[in-house]
Amino acid sequence: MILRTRLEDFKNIGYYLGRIMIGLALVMLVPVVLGLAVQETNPALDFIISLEITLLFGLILMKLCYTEKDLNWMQGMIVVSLSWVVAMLLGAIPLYLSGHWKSYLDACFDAMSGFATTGLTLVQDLDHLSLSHNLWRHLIMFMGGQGIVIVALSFFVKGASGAFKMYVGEARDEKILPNVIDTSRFIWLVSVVYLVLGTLALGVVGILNGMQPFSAFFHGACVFMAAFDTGGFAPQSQNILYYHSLAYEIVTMVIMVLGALNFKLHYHIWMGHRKEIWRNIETRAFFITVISTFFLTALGLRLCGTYPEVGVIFRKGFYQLISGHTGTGFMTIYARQFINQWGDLALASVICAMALGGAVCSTTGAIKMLRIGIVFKAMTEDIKRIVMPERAMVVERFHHIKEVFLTDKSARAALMITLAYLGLYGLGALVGTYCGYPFLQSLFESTSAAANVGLSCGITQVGMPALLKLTYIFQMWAGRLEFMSIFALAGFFVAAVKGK
Amino acid sequence: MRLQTPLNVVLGITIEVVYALAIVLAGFFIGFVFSLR
Repeated sequence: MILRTRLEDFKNIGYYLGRIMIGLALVMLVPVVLGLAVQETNPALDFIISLEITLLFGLILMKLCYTEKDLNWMQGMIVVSLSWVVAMLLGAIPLYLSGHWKSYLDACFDAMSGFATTGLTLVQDLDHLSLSHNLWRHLIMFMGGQGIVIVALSFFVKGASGAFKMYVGEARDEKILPNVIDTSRFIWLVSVVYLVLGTLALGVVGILNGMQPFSAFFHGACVFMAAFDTGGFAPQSQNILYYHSLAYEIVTMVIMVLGALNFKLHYHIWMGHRKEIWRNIETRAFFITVISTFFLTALGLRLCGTYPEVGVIFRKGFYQLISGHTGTGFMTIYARQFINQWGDLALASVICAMALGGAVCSTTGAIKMLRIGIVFKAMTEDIKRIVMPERAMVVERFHHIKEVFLTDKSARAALMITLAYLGLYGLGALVGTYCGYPFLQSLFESTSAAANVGLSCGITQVGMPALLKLTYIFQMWAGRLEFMSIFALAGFFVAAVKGK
Repeated sequence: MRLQTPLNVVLGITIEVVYALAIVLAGFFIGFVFSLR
């Protein structure tokens, strides 16, 4: 029997949602300050209007739904799934006000793409977008990468005992430290340390390439946020191709790989357990899958004769591959080159890489390495059971921070999420095909959206059907939250209608 | 239990960057193999 949703559920959800939105409103102060500092008055006004709307929304929700009760599991999950939708709706307001997005739906598409660290974009005339709006695009990506709720947990929801439920709902089932607030703060520590180092590295490379110091460091900060949070937005319409620099590409590749590592792994390595990086199932699986998918990509490119020289195959082929595998979506080629020059084998290999993703508890989307490793171990165990004598005990184990024995429960959980992702990739591909695009291209774009990658073969354009835009928004949302909180939201609505 | 000291953080960052560079180098090597005629 499903229990009917109570008024208390709505109040709890509304109250915490309001608190998180106030956090979002406060982050909008950053582009306001930048806008005023660089004398971009109109963009600053866009953000002041958006800030007021967001703040008012949060305060009204908190006032109407005031409660001192703690969140239960279902409420925590629903707060998370709704937070991402409401953050998209409110975060899109300044984008829409800028006039660089054709419709509010397009602005919502980019806002969800930013929060979900995807990187697909429908912006028009990006090269003339104000610094404040450009910073906002990258800030929402940085916030989304950390997790909107983690941002709130770290700074604005101090002491909330329902914090862990929201933390889990945001697809971070690994608690790094016993206290979830401390865990959130550690995630911020890693990100800020790398933000400083990465911005410095990119800024220096930019200056050496002839950029003005302010521009070099502004671009450095924006590109770092998009690379470490495996997002994929760039300050210029040509993405990373704009910089025409091997050094810039190598630095961004390193940052993308760092962003695809598990925050729990960062913690243990920073605690002095440095051998963990070579022993962990995720880092091993990542290394193996990058090599195998690039082997196939390079073979496909070789068959097409597209990039005959080593430098070009590395800068064009490997760059898109690692960008896709880490879930970033930075590009050093034009979107249509995937279709016109790459051939089906190379394209299919990149789709596989995008579908796999980085580590769990990182900023990447997709199936993720721990699950791939567990599924592989489960298959090995089953094969051994068939091959070995009936009385033999077959036990598989793997190393993830500590030695872990493979259980049926963990294998089932990994397989369930893997299947859900495959279904999500297929859903977008079917809708794309229905809208008239070839299947392989539809699958490419759909996987890119659902795995929060951002590589595009040219389907994502302002003129694409609204149905496809909405499908990709749903895919980005569901893919980023890893389904559980979405299922909880669906269950909540069912309970509201059919509950007794 | 070791502590999260500045030295451990610096060495940790170094080993993580080495891991990332190892992947990049492996990609370059595969690219090199496929560029041979």
